[in-house]
Amino acid sequence: MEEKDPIEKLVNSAFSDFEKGPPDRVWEKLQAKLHPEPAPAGFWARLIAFFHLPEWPVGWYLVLAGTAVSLMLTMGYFGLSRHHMIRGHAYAGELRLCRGTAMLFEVADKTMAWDSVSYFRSAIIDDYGHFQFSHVRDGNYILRIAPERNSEAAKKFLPSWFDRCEKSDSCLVIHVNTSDVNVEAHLILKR
Amino acid sequence: MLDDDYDLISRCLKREVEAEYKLYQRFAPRMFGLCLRYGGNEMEAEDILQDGFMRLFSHLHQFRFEGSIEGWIRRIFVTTAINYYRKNLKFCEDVELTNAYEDATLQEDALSVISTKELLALLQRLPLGYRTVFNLFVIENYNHKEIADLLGISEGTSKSQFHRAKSLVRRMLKEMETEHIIG
Repeated sequence: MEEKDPIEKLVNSAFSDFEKGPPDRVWEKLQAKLHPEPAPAGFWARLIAFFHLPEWPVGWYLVLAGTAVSLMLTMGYFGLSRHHMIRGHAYAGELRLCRGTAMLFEVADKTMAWDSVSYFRSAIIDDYGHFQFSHVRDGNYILRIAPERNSEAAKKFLPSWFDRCEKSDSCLVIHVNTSDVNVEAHLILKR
Repeated sequence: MLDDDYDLISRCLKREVEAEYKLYQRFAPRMFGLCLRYGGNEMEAEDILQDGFMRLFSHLHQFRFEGSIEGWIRRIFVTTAINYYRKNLKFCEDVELTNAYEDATLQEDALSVISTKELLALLQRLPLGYRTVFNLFVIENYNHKEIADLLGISEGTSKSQFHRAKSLVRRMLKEMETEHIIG
C-alpha cells in the first residue's frame, strides 16, 4: 500500500467528516425555486383557474351549458323567428315632417280591446321625415306619429294614428307577415 | 437502506415541502462542507449547494433505492461542483509557480496545529482548476484517469495540476508554519 504524502493525509483527515450548517437563506432560495409562487393572474386566467378546480369540475359543465343555452336563444331570436322592418315617411300636409316621434303598438287581436294593445317601441322621425322599426316580429301593429313639440308642424298638425286618424280604434292596422313594410303616414291638420 | 429513508424519499418525490426540508436538513451540513472545498468562498459554496439540491430533487426519481442515499447524494454534489468548475474555468487565471517550496519539508508538529478552518481557507485560495483536481484526488479518492474523464482534460494535465496544487498548498502551509512560529 502506497503511503500518502503528509499534506494529503492532513487534508483527507481534516475534511473526511467535515460539515458546516449553511445559512438559512440557502433553503429560502431553494424553496422559492422548488415551489415558485404563481404569477398574479388576470381576470380571465383567474376565472379559468376557478373552473379548473378539481373539487368542482361541475363549474365547467355549468359554463358550457350556459353558453349553449345563450347561443340557442340568440339563434332563436335572430335566426329562427322571422323579423321584419317597418319603415316609411311621415308627412305634414304636402311636405315631409321635419323631426318628430313614431310610436309602434302591438295589437293582440282584431277587435283591439283596450288590454290587447301594447306599446312596442319608439323611433325618431329624422329631418327628412324618415323613420324605421327593425326586428319587428310577425303580427299586427298600429302606428302613431307626432311632430316635435314647439315645432312649426306642431302648431298646424295634430299627432295622428296611421293613417290620418285621431283615435286608435279606427286607425289602419299594419299587418307584418312575410316581408318588410313601407308606410306613408300623414298628420291630421288642426281645424 | 432504512425504511425511514424510503419513506422520506417517497414523500420528496410527491413534492412534500416538509419532507424536502427534512432531507435538506439531514444532508445540507455535510454537503455544504463539500461545497466549501470546491467553491472559492462561502458565497460560491452556497451557489453550488443550491444547484446541488436543485439537481438532487429533480433527479430523485432516478435513485433506485439501492445502496446508501448519502453516497448517491455525494456523487450529485461532486458532479455539481465539476459543472461549476466547467462553467467558471474560463474566468480563471493560471498562477506562476516557483520551485522555492517544492522541496520544503514541513514539520509534522506544525501541521497538527493547523485547524480545519485554516486549511479550508488555504484550499479556497487555490486556483479553481488546482482546487478541483486536488479535491477529487485527495478527498474523493478518484484516480487521475477518472479525474481526466470527469473534467474533460488529459491525464497528464490532471497530474500536473495536482502537483502544482500540492506545491501551492505546501508553500502556503510553510508560510503559515512560519507565522505560527513567529506568532
